[in-house]
Amino acid sequence: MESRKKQPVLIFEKVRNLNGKISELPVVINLFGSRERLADAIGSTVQNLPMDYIDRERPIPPVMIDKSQAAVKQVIQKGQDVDLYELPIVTHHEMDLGPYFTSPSVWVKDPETGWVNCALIRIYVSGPRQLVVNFNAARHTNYYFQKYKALKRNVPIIVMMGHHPAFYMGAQTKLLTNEPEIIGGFMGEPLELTPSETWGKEIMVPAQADIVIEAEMSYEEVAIEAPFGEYTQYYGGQRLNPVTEVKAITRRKNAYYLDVMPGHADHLLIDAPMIEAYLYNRIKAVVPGVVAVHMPVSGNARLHAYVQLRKSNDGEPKTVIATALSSDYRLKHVFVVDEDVNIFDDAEVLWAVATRSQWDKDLMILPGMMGTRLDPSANDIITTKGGIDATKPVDPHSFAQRILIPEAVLTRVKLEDFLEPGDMKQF
Amino acid sequence: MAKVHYVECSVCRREYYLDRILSEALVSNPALKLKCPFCRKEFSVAKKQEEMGGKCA
Repeated sequence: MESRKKQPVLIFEKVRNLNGKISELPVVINLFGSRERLADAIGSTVQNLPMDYIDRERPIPPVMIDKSQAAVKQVIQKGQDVDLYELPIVTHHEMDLGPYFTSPSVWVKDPETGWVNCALIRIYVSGPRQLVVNFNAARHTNYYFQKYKALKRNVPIIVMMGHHPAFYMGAQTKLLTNEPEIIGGFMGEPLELTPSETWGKEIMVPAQADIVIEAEMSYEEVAIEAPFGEYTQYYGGQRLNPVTEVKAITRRKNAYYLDVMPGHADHLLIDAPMIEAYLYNRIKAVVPGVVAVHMPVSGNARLHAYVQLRKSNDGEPKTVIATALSSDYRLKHVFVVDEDVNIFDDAEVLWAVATRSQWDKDLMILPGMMGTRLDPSANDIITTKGGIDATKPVDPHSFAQRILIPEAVLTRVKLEDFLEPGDMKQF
Repeated sequence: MAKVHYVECSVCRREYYLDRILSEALVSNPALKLKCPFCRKEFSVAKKQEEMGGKCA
C-alpha cells in the first residue's frame, strides 16, 4: 500500500498469537500513517497541525475513576495467569530478534516528584511473562530510571497499547512534566485514570485503554535485545537492556491490538508534527520570516527538515540552519527554500537546491555535533550536520524569474473538455 | 553506529551485528550468551574461540 502512496488503517481479524492459535484480538496497523488522520485526531488540518500541536500542549489534570467504570479492567490476568503469548504480537523485519510491542506508551513515575513520563518505546517480548525494554540514554524515561537505580529500587512501569490517537500525540511531548496532564490537553478533556492491579493508587493506569501491562523493570539485571528495524530503516545492533517481569495484564473485552510498523509512515509521522512545531518556534524566535517547517518521510521524519522562509536579508538562511540543527539532536540536514517552493513536495525542494544554490557559498557544514547513534553513517553519537541555502537573493533584480502558466489559463482550461470520461480516470 | 560489530552464530553460522557497548562487554566476558535473530538459539563467541584454538572470533 505504501508503494502505491496509500495509507489506510488496516485491520486484520484472524491473526495467530504466539501460542499458534487465532487471537481473540484483531490487529490494527498504520493508524498513524497519514497526516490527515493525525490532524483529524485533534480537530486540526494538515497545514495547521504543528501550530495546533503547540496550542494543545497545555495541562489538563487527569481524573481518577473507579475500576468498575474502567474499560481496561474488563479482562484481568495476574501472576501465573499472565500469558503474553496470547496476544497477536508481530515480528516485523527479517533480522528482528523476535516479536516486539511497537505501539506502547510506557509510563514511568519519577520517584522524587511523582511526575509520570510517557514514551513510545519498543519492547522485546522475551517470554510469556518477560519483556526487555529498549532504553535511549537521551530520553526522560532513562532520566527517571537512573533515579530508581540510585535508590536500588526496581521500576514499576505501565505498558499501554491502544487509545485515542490524540493520546499518542500528547504523549510525544518533549516537556519534562507530568505528561498525563499534557495528554489531557490534546484530548481536550481530563484523561481518566484508575488504580493499577499491582500497586493500587500508587501507580495509576489509563482507564479507557485497550490493553495495559503492569510490569516491574529490574534496575540491575539486563538481557539480550535486538537486532530491531529502526526508524532509519536499518537494523540497530544487538544490545543489553533491562529485564522486566510482567505482573498483570488488563484489557477491554473487545480490545484491538495496536501495532506500529517501524521505519514506515506509521512510525515516522507520529511525532513529526511535534518536531515541526518545536523547530518552527525556535527558528521564529531568531528569524521571524519563517513560514513553515516540514520533516519529510524521505528523511525519516527526523534527519531532514525543509524550511520555508520569507527572507528579509541574505544572512537569514544560514541562521535558520544553525538554529534548527542545534534544536533537535537527530536533525542532520536542513534545506532552506523560498515561500514559492512547496516544502511538502520533495521534488520541489530538490528543484530549488538544483537551481538556487551554489555550494561553495550556500552549503554550511558543522562537524563534531551530537547526533543519533541510529544513523549508520555517524561516528557513534558524533555526527556532521549541515544545511543548504536554496533561496534566491533578496534583491529580485539579481535573479532569473521562475516560469509560470498564468492563473487565468489554469482556471479556464478544464481537462474534461479535452478528454473522454474513460481517459479522465487516469488523471 | 558507525562501526557495526559482526558476529557469527555458532549454531546456524549466519552473521549479524552487535552495538558498541555489547561488543565491548564481550571482550571482557566472551562467555556472555548472545541470541541469534535467525535461528533464535543462544550461543557464545567463547565456544567459537575454543574451536579456533583460542583465536579471536
